[in-house]
Amino acid sequence: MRRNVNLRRRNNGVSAIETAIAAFFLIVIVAIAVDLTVLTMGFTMLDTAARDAARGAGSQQTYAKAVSAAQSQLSIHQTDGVFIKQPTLTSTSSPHFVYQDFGGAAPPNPNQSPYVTVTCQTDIHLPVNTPFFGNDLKNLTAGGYFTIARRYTFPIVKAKYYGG
Amino acid sequence: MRLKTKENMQSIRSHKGLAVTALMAIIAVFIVGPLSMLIYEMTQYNLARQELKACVDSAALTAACSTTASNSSVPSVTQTAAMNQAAYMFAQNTILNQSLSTTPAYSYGAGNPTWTPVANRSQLYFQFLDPVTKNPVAFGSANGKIMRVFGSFAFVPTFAKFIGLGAGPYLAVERADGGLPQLDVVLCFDVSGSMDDFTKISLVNRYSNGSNPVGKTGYNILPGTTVVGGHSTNNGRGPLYWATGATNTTGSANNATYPMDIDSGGGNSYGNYYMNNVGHGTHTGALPPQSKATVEAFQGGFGFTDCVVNLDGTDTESNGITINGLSFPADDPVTHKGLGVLVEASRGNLENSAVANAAGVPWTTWGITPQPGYFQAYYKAAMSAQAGFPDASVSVPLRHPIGDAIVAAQSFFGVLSNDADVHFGLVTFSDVGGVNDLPGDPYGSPSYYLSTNINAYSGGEVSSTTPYPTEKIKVISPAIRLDPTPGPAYSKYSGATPAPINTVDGALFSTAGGAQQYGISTVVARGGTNIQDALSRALSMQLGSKTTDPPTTGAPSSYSSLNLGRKGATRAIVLFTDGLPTAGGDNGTSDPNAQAVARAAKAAGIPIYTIGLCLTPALQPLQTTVLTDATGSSGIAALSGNGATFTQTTNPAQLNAVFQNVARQLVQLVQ
Repeated sequence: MRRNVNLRRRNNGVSAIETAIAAFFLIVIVAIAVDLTVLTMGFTMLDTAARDAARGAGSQQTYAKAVSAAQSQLSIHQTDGVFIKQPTLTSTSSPHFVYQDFGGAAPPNPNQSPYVTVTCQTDIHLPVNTPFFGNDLKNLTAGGYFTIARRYTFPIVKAKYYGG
Repeated sequence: MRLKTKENMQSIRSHKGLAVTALMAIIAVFIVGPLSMLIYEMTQYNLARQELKACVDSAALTAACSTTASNSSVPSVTQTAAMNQAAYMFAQNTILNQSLSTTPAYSYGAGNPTWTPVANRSQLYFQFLDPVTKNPVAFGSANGKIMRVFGSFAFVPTFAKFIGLGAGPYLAVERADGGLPQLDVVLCFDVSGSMDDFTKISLVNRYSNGSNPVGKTGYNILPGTTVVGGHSTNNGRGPLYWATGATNTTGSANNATYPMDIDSGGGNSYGNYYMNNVGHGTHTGALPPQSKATVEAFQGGFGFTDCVVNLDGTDTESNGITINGLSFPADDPVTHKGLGVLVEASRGNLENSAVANAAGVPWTTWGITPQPGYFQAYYKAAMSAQAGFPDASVSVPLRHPIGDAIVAAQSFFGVLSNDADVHFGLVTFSDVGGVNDLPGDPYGSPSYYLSTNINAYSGGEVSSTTPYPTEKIKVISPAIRLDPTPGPAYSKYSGATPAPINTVDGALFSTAGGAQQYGISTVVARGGTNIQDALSRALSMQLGSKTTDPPTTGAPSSYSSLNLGRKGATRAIVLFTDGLPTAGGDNGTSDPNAQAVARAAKAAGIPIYTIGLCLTPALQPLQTTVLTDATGSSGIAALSGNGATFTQTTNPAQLNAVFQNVARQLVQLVQ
């Protein structure tokens, strides 16, 4: 009787170990899926925010107004603040933020036109800190936040008179 | 038995565990894993599409910006530049961290795009759409007001080989439209007499040296009367008027067609000088050239018989010029052959040697050969303001202000027509604002005509029943009405900018106005400056397209709303004048009526952009007072508000740039 009990215990233990081992694959995959989902949401949100920021900056007639407009656009894109942080301008200086209106003169390259380049970034806290995708690992911060950035270049949407 | 049972139980247990583990592994590896990869690829693809859409938006916006900034009036040039700049902007972006700088040359056309996918590369295709039909039109079409940009990106899945998607690439295609703004703009264009004050002219006394009609013809150049213009006592002024018919082709000393009307001081004075009617005459009643003593005695020595434009652009016709292969030699202070040729060419006495001989023209002495075309050449050049017109050999611009202004206004219309979806209106104005565009137009009052019989002119409409020529031409204060019908076909661009009258032969006048259009190209300077009437007429065209518009334009020319604008169009009026108000109840800087119209325009949300040409320094501050956009002032631009600006120039040669600058402001995508 005692041997049967011991045997049943061993069997249950083995079963638990086997289930745990088998479940590990699922857990890892599900964890990756969850992380990917959050990352995708972050990328999508950041892409939209960066586009709006660049578009807004391109609607302004000075660098200062362009920065302000870009920040204003970014503030519109609210996030949960935990897994996806509020997007911000990476920097307000070149090369992350460029307001190039050529001083109202004709661009040196006739194919160019006045443009604004805006780089935005956000921090994503991965629910499961699973390393993946090679080089992206280096972006993992100590706090478990994954920083992503997106840059857009849009025309400055004000009519320019180039003389002649 | 127990051992067997134990072994059996362990075996069964082991098999179950292995089966569960294997099942879990299978589910993980073959279902959850691939499914995750598939979801990942799909999200990546969607992200690529989203990023592609943003990049195409950027390109389309760039194309629209490029077009609105174009200085060219040639659609194909503008569209090419727009595509180049759009492609350049597109290449500055990335999709899924793939740089678009490797995007190959774009293609364009009216058909659907075809793609040749290359992994992780993009392609661009452009179409130009008619804003009304929304259908693609051929490259270079002036109707292509909407730029449609197609972009593709060849997406390559990362885990394709693991989940059986194949190598790809999978094409993502997005499109964006770059539309041009709708704009209804009416140009108020000053054609008052002062617009020609600065034409370089010479006053000449033509007299006979011998018995009439045969005899040498001499020329007295009145002292100090080779003038640049202006209002000083001794300098002449007066608009150049265009003679409207050739003189008798059989040749006669009586050939005399006034080359121009001198309207200062009641019709025949010219500062201190006076047109010598006796010595000049009309075609049918002209007297032969009078003796030198007679013409010199006329008006106490201040009479003259001819007023001619110095075609070479100098003060004294000192350079001479060749036009259409015909020589207009430099003047000689003794023989006055240079001015003599101008006089005789303007009279039609150089069309052949028989005519010249009959008129007593010493053409052999001058070293020229009378031949057909002198008459046309003179008038073409006298009316031109451009180097290269009427002949490529003309290397200097034969400028006079209204000529420059006409060219500038034509350029203004051309650039706007190319840069936006614009409908045009035109109100030329002098004593009153223009009212007519086409004969029989119900919009306005009877036409003004100018005929050769300038003698009959007495400050009003020239009679259309004068005996010669029977043809007539309407040249004064034309107007072009806006058309509310959507689409470039109704822009009135061609109506506002008809081909300039570049002929003075009978062909032009034989139509008697029946089939001609009269726009900015045909105006001549004459009369006063009635700014308020012009603004009222322009405003009346615009009012009515918005429900908040007032029904009338305001006092004293309280014209009713004509509702000729498009519902969704931005509206604007551009006022161009060279001086100050002299009519319509306004005088100089006292312009309450013009101000009233400006306030009415403000109420309707219509800016009045003002452009002042001021060649007289003393008048510049006065003109600024009337037209300024200074905040708090009573300038017309300031009172109209809505972003209106004032630009003043003292150089007619700058007018083109000024008009184009205003055009730029009008087609701003963002205020």
